[in-house]
Amino acid sequence: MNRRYLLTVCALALSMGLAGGAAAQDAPREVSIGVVTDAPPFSYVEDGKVTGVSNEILQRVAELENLKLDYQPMKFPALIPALQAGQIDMAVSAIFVTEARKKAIDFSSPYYTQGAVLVAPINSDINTVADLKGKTIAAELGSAALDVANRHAEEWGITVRVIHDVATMQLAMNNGDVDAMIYDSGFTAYQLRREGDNPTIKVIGDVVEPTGIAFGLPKGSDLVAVINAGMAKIEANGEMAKIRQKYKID
Amino acid sequence: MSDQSWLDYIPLLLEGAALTIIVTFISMIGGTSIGIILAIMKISSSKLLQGCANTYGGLVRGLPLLVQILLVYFALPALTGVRMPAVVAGTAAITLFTGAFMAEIIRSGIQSVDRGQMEAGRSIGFGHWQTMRLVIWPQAFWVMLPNMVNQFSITLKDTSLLSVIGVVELTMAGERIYTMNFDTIRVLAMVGVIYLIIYLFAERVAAWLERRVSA
Amino acid sequence: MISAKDVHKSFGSLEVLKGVDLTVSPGEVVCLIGASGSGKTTFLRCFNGLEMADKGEIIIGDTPLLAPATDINKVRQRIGMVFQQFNLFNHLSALDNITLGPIRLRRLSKAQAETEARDLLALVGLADRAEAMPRMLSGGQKQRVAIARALAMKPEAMLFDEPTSALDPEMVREVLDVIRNVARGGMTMVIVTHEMGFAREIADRVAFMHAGTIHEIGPPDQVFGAPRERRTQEFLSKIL
Repeated sequence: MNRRYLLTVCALALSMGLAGGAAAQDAPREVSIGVVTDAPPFSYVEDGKVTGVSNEILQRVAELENLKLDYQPMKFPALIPALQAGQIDMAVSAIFVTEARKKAIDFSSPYYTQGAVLVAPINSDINTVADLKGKTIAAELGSAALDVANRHAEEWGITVRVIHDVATMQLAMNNGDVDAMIYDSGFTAYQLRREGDNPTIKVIGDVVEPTGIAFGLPKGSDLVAVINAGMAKIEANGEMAKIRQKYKID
Repeated sequence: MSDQSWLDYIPLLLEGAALTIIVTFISMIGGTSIGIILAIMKISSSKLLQGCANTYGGLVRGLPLLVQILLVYFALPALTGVRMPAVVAGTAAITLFTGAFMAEIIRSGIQSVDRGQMEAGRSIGFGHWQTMRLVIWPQAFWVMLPNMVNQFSITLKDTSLLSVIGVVELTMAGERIYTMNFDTIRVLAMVGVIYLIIYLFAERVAAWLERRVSA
Repeated sequence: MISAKDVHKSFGSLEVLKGVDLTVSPGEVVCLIGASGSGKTTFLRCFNGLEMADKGEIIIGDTPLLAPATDINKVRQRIGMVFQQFNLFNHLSALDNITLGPIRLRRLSKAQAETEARDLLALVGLADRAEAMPRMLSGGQKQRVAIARALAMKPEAMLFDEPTSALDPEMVREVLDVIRNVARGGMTMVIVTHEMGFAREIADRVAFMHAGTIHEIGPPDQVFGAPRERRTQEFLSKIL
């Protein structure tokens, strides 16, 4: 152990300490996330963890862009008002990018496309869109599917009942208070896959108005660029495709 | 968002307000009927009747109203096979809820009438129920009335819970508007103002009645 | 004629009436006197069933009050009661207080009942207060209306439970005047009272009650002037 050796070791240790300190000063940016927990396969909770296509994408982006995600569970209709009020920095569900919404909030790049689909109980005598005449269908408050239903209401001859969340909608359909519902095609596909040989629902007609889905952010948020940068990276390195495959939505 | 558009909200909100008021009235009338029966049971000398009335009151006051609404709307059809539109289920739940509170109001109103009134009526030769009808009830009614109007404004606010099962009362009417056009704060403010107007009107009636009672 | 035979009454474990006998002849006025707790009010209330005797007999006219077959409401129509606290129906005017029973129970028409009621109000000196609500009347006025209300049922007998005890002194006289008039009209009456002077003047007999029985009963001059029992003497010496 001579003095030069000791000095070198100390210098190395010091510089590493300084470098480590410098890295620690780039503390992660805290981002509060309004997250919907009833929208599989895009945004839901499993084993106490927030997961799904949207959340896995976001969690990957957070790692790459040094973000710390702080989740606040919310119901879908509350997301956009919460963004407007500045209570959350970002909204995660499977949010359809529509012109009306773009006026109120900003969106990240879209990461998937889905549309609205009509769903009826498996034993219902509704089998085609024409059978819907005179019937009542449920749609989720504030959803793009609701907008679709309202615009087609006259053409399809339906009455639209607005309900706060998808679970209540399904119960209303099961107890006969509504005849059918209109909801996201991705969720419906997921449900049918899970039900396998014993489906409780059937799809009526085709997917209506396929639209991109993205993350929601407050208007003028500087996070949009950050998120988009991260998404571009995982699109490029193939992780995006892997997530889609994992959830069988490709 | 142009300042013109908020006027467009008014008809929709007023439709919701109309349903709010109708549900409140029906619940108050139904609740009063239930309350009268329960109050009689509570005052009766039968321990069985008292017990039943108190059990009902305990259940209704012990569970959150929201839970009761969900139970009536979802569980009841599943158990009994009886189908009910949401507005019927919701009104029924609120009626049952109001009934428990009305029972207390009615019971305490009746018991606030001096015993001597019943004795005087009986001593003339009226039967028990005759005396109740001719002597006790007319006096108890004026004591109960301010409390009943108070219950009206409580029930009025409780109807907003029906939005959870999709009934388009005032709160839901507002939600439908601002989740479509994102004019959240303005619409909520308008909803609040309309509730306040209805409440203030009911309060006016209550104050007028209270002056009549103490006169 | 009303009578009580061997009447017993307990409240829980407390025996308040320990075998009381009393027969009141038609047109007779009997005053019950005694200390608080002697049972005089309880005994009075046994006559119209506001207290139900546990044992013994109560006969009103020829109707046994305590027999299961007896319709007590019907019997009560034949006996009027005047309460210490007046108990006027607060939601009805003086006139309506008086006509309620006659219209509903004696099946008089409204017009008939009101005519009779106005006569009664005149009798008690309140003809000009027919439309007044009870809360607007003084205690003495309320009690006079109460007496008219009881008389409106045309009873065979009247019971008075300390009719002036709740009155301010200056109003006692107007009520006693009315009661005197009713007595002079030949009404059978039992009166519980502390107004000894009045009792002496108006009673045919005075009954002194003590500890749940009638200790001494007799004409007023005898009971007040020359009481036989020691207890009676003690009581009177405290009062007079």
